[in-house]
Amino acid sequence: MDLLPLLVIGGVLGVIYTLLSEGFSLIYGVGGILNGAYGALYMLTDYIIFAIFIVWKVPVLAAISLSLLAIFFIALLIQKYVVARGKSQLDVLFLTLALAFVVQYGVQYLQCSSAFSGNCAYPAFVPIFVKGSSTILGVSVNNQQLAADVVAIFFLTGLWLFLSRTRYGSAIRAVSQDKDAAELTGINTERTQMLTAGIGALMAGVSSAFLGSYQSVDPTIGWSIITLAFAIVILGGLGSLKGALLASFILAFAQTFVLLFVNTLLSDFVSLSILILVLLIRPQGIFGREVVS
Amino acid sequence: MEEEEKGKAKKEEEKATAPGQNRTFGTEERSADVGARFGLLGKVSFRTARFYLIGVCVIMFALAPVITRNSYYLGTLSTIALYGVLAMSWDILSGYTGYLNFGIAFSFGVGGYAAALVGVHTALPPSMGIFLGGLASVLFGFIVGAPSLRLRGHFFILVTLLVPLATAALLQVLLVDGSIFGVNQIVTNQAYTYEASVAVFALTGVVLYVVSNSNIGLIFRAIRENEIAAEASGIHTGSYKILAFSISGFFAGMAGALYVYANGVASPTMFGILLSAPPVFMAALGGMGTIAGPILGAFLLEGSLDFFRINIISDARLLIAAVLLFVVLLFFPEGIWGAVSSWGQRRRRHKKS
Repeated sequence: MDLLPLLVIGGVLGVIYTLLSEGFSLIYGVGGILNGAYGALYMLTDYIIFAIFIVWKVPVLAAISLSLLAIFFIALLIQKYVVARGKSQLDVLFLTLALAFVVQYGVQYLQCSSAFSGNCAYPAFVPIFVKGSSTILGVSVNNQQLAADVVAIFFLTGLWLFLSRTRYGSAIRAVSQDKDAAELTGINTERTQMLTAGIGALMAGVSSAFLGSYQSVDPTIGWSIITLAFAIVILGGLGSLKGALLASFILAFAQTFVLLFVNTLLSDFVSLSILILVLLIRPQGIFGREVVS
Repeated sequence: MEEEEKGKAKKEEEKATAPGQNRTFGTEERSADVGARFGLLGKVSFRTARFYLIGVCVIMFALAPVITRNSYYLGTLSTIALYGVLAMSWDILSGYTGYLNFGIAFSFGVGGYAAALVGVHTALPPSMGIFLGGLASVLFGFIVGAPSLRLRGHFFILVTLLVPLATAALLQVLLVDGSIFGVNQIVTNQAYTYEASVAVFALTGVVLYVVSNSNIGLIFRAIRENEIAAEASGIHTGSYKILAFSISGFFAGMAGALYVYANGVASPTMFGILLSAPPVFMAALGGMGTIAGPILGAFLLEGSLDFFRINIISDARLLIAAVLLFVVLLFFPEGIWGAVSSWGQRRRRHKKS
């Protein structure tokens, strides 16, 4: 059994999973809510990139930047006009899930309507924007996935510095620890939550832009993404950024392991079963229930 | 009658949630010995708006073939009945006990596969297949439900979300395309499918209405409001949760069996998230914890989807349903039934004073 491919492929995947799930975890930690629209934001990013790229014929990187900007503001609006309206966790979960369906069917409608492509079967795609592949420890990896890892590591380091060194970061941590106390000290909790929602959406968006080139983009991809992010966040311990990091790698390595050494068909089943078993045996996750730190 | 009952339940809820009051314990004790003194069913009143709604729907379904023989409309109606059954069975577990099941597709799928196996390998009549589908769903539901019902909140949501996905993934490995084919030979008569759907719908509506308005339903609601308090007052909440899960699974399994007989194939899409989600939203749209609400939701979401198919706006029908759901939840988080009944209460109170 050759362990090098496992390490390389699992590691590459784990970094992207981390980026994907930390956004969800951050939103949970600060808002105390499960954002059902997280997957929809992921999906929407790909479609905005596609639309800008096809309609305006701008370079891919410009399209991605515009799309990330758009998704950031969309997330702010959702936080302000949808999430903030919900009275309980349950309301928010249902509202955001309903919103995800609105977005999904809206995109589907646009895609099929004559204004856009006029053909439901015409697939959306995100072009590969970092070409070629390189060999690491004898394992061939696409350059775009490596670029994704580099960007993700920068992003996560930046996030960590932002949370630990800046005033806004302290505000975010304060709100995640105790919202009422944070409000008493003069923190604008509403704005802090909006900022968090925006950052979270950006993280979904960045991973979406990089992963979009490798999967067929359709309006339903958000559901598998949100399931993945949700699973990782629960596995790591709700709202724990450290836990989500660890859980991302565990899941990535487990999936790669089954894929490489056991059976391609079994991959999904094994990773799902591991998750279910962990939940049943240790429901509080690896790092228990702690706040963002 | 219903108002009285609701008023009583509401008072009890208010007491139960009022912090730092010694009377809380008194109330819990009383709600516990309701079960012991009056039996599990207690007195169930049938003269309520909720029961009338169920009755009207059943009569409408039953009369529809007399009015129209258009197979398209009948097919749509039986789909609505099917989703109505699913939404109601989701409601008896999640709406009443507060354990949100995001994977009713598991019960649905297990019921469907069991019915397909029965249909293909035995000579039993389809009605037995439907019944056995329900039973299989209860059995597998018990294996999955018993350990997962110990989890609460988001953890329960995640387990229920993942279990059907894992099952679908396993089926892909075990069977060709993960499907059971050849079921289309069992029921070829569309009229039979329609009648069976209506019968299952009626059965589900009546049974779930009785359960939800009995003392069992009261205990389910006690679990939703405060599980620890319910436990402290001597209710073995574990068994009641499993009971709710089993009842829910039984009817969802029957719906799955019907679906398989109507469509002629049992495929892994039955375990998909796009089958788990609609019942949740139908219940949320109509009003959770009301049994009648989910039927309304099924009509609005599924009916508006299907009847518009022949209209100019047919392309946007899914979008319209989603927007409707979103707008209703945004302004009426309790759903339609909750909004209407609280509006009615407010008006009555206004009249009195």
